[in-house]
Amino acid sequence: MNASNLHLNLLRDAEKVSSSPVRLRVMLPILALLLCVGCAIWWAVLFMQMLLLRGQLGTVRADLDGKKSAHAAILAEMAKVRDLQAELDQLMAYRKGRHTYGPLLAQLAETMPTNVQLTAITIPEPPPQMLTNPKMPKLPPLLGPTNTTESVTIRLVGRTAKAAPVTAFMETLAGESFKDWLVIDKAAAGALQSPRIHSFRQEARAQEDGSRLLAFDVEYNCRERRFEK
Amino acid sequence: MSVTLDNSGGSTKRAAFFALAVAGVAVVLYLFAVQPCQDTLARERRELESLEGQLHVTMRDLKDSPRVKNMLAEVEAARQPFMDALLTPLLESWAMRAKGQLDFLAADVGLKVTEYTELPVRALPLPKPTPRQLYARRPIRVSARGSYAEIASFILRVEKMLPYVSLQALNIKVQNTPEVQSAEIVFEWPAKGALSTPVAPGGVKR
Repeated sequence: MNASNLHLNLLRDAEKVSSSPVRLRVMLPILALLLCVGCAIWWAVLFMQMLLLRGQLGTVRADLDGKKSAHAAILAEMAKVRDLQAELDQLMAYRKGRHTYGPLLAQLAETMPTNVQLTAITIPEPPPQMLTNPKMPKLPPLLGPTNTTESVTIRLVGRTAKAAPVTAFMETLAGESFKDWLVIDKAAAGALQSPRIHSFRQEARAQEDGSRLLAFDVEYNCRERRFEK
Repeated sequence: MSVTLDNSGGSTKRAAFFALAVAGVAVVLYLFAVQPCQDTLARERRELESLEGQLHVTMRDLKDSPRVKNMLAEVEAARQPFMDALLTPLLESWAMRAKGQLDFLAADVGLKVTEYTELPVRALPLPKPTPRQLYARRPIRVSARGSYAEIASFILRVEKMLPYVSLQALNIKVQNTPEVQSAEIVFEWPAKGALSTPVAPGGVKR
């Protein structure tokens, strides 16, 4: 008996020349299923990560909550340190601008020649400050001047019988013992010159013995007050 | 014998439909599960990073706590002498408070103080950027009569006993006899928040 072979040709002509032995109608559902399963796995992985992350978040939040009051206290202390430091800086600036003149007055009394009489010693008040804002003159001033130095002068007015003791006195003032207070700069011009002789003249009124005294008026620049830290 | 299944179109269509349906499910899964999950994850990661940053800062601050406490103690200790030296009004009078501080010093050296006068408050010059004035300089003029030695001794004592009081101005004038001089001495004190209530020029006498 001549058995004939049954040959099922399941391939189409287009599929015969294809390099893939698997047909599209098999591959497509498999690929789609794989895509779907992949998405599901992806989501599952992400979901697990999210659960882990939430656990971590909970731990960190609980940790933060536990330290909240202690942290608030330390932050308050830090803010207090900042505020107090700002206050201290201003007070230190004031302290730095403080000069003492008592020793200067004591020293003056010690070095004063016997035949010179001081009739006035003046350290003038500093000029008034312009503190109000010209644009808002009714508002109280909040900010001070930014020039941190304030010039100080001392004016010595007196009289004497002769010019020589005054010259000697001025030389003493220019010496080492007064250098902590007085600035000596004879070469400078204008207000920077120190000492500045305002007048050195004979008094109009005669004394009982008929002699006329010499009146002098000398101004010295003192070390300026520096309001700095 | 060779048979070609030309009617295989039905199964291909079913396969294509099935594939499309499954792909649709995959898309839905991506759009409604994966993507929101990714967004949530990204948001929670950012939140975790932020919280971890906060925790790091908190831990660092807490670790700094002893240093901050030391700093606070140091600053308070450095500030205290100034606080003790601040001029505060007595019965709303700054001059009265100054009188309370200076009268006994003047009496010690035999200086006769005739008057205490409040002068316009002066701002504290501060470097740029100018901070808000927390303190000001409160000048009080002391009018007195006495010898030069008494005046000098008084100033020396004030400067020694009140180390935060500063001499702002001075005017000593000889009177008829050289033993008696008139003195106007302007001392200034640090004072708190005095700028907002300036004294009118000319001062207030007590």
